[in-house]
Amino acid sequence: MKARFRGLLYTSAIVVVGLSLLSWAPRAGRFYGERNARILEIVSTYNAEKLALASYVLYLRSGLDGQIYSIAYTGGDPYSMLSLPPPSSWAGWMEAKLEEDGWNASVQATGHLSELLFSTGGIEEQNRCARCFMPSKGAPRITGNLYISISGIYTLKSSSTRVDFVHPVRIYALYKVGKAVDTAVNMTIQHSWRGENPCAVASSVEQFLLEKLEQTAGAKAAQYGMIHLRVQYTITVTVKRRLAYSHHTDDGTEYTYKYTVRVSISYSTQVTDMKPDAKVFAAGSVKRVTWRKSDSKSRVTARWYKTTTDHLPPVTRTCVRTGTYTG
Amino acid sequence: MSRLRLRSLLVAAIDASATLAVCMFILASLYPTVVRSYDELTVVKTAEAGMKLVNYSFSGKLLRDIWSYCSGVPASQIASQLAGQMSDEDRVQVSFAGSEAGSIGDINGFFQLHVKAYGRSIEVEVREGP
Repeated sequence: MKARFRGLLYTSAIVVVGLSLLSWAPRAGRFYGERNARILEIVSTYNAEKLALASYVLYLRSGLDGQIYSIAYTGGDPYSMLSLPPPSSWAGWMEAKLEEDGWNASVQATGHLSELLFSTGGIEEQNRCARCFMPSKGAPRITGNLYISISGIYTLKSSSTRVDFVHPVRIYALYKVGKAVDTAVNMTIQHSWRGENPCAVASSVEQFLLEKLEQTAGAKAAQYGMIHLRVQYTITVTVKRRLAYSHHTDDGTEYTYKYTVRVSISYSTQVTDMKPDAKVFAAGSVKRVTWRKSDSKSRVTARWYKTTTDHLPPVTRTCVRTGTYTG
Repeated sequence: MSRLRLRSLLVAAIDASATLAVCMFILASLYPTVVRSYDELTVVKTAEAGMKLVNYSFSGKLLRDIWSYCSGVPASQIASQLAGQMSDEDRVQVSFAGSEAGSIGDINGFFQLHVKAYGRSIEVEVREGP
C-alpha cells in the first residue's frame, strides 16, 4: 500500500514535469526573448534590402535583354531606341511583396541609362548578379538609386543604395562598327569612278572599298576587341555610251558622246559581340547578339567625249563582283 | 488515524516534495538554455537562409536559373539542383517558383526572394532546419 502510494506520487510528479516541458517547448515563430527578436529583425532587414537590390538589377537586365536583341536584329540605333524599363513599376511591385512578407515597406527606385565609356577591371557584385563578367566599353550602363525603408515590430531601417551595373552586350559598340561600314561604303560610292571597262572599274571599286572598310570599320572593331565583323557586298558597275548630240562645223561633223558609269553597292553587315558573357535571353533561349543591316547605295558619274569620227553605236556593259570582308 | 498511517503519509509527502523540487530545479536550469538556444538558432538559421539567397543572387546563378526556367526547364529540377548546392548535411529545403526540393523536419529559419523578370514573377525560398 505504502509502495503503491509512493509510486503514484512519483508518477504524478513526472507527469507534471512532462507537461510543463511540453508547454515550455519552443515553437517556430515564437520568441522567448525580445533581444533575440530584435536581432532577427536587424538581420532580416539587411538581407531583405540586399535581395531587393538583386531583384531590381535582374528586373532592369531582363528589360534590356529583349530591347537589345530587337535593336540588333533590325539594325536599329540604340542611342534613340534603347530605354530603361520603368523603375516605378518594379518599386510598386516590390513594396507589395515586402508587405506580403509582413514588413511595413516603402520602396523607391530610380535609374539612368548611358553608354559605358571605359572598360572596368573589377567586377562589382551587381555586375555578377547581371552575369556581366567583363564590363566593357560600349555597353549600356545603368546608374541610379534604390531607397528602401523597412520596419518590423522592433526595428526601422531606411537606406539608399547606389545602383550601378553594366549590361554585358556592347550594343553601342556594335552599332558604331555597323555605322563605320556605312561610312566606308559612302566614301567608296562618292569617289569619282571613270572607265570604259566595267570589270576594271568594279575591281578598282572593290579594292577601294576593302581599304576603306579596313581603315574605318575594321579599325573600330579592333579598337573595341572581341567583335566579329562580316560584310557581304555585291558591286555592280554599268558603263553606258550614247550619242549626246552632234553638230556640223566647217571641218565636218562633231559628235559628243556621253559616258556614264553607274556604281552600286549592295551590302549586308553583321557585327557580333564575341565577348564570352555577351548574351541575352530572348524568344525563349539564350542568344549571342549580332547587329545586322542590309542596304544598297549607288551613284552615277558622267563625262562627255567629243570626236569627229564616225557615228558610234550606243553601248551598255555591266560587270558584277561579289565578296566578303571579315574583320 | 493510527500513528503508523500518519507517519507513512508524512514520508510520502516528503518524498513527493523532494521529487518535485528536484524536477523544478532541473527545469529551472534548463529553461534559459533551451529557450536561448532555440532563439539564437532561429536567428542564425534565418540569417543563413538570407545569406544563401544573397550569395545565390549576386553570383549570377539566379539569373542563369531564371533563364533555364523561362526556357522550359521544370521548376522542380531547378529546385532540386539548388537544394543540392545549398544543403549542408541535408538541412535545407528550397522552393523555386512553387516547386520544393530537399527535406527537413523542423524549420528554424527561412527567407524569401521575389524576382520580376522576363515577364514572370518568380519566388525563391530557402528554409533551414536544425
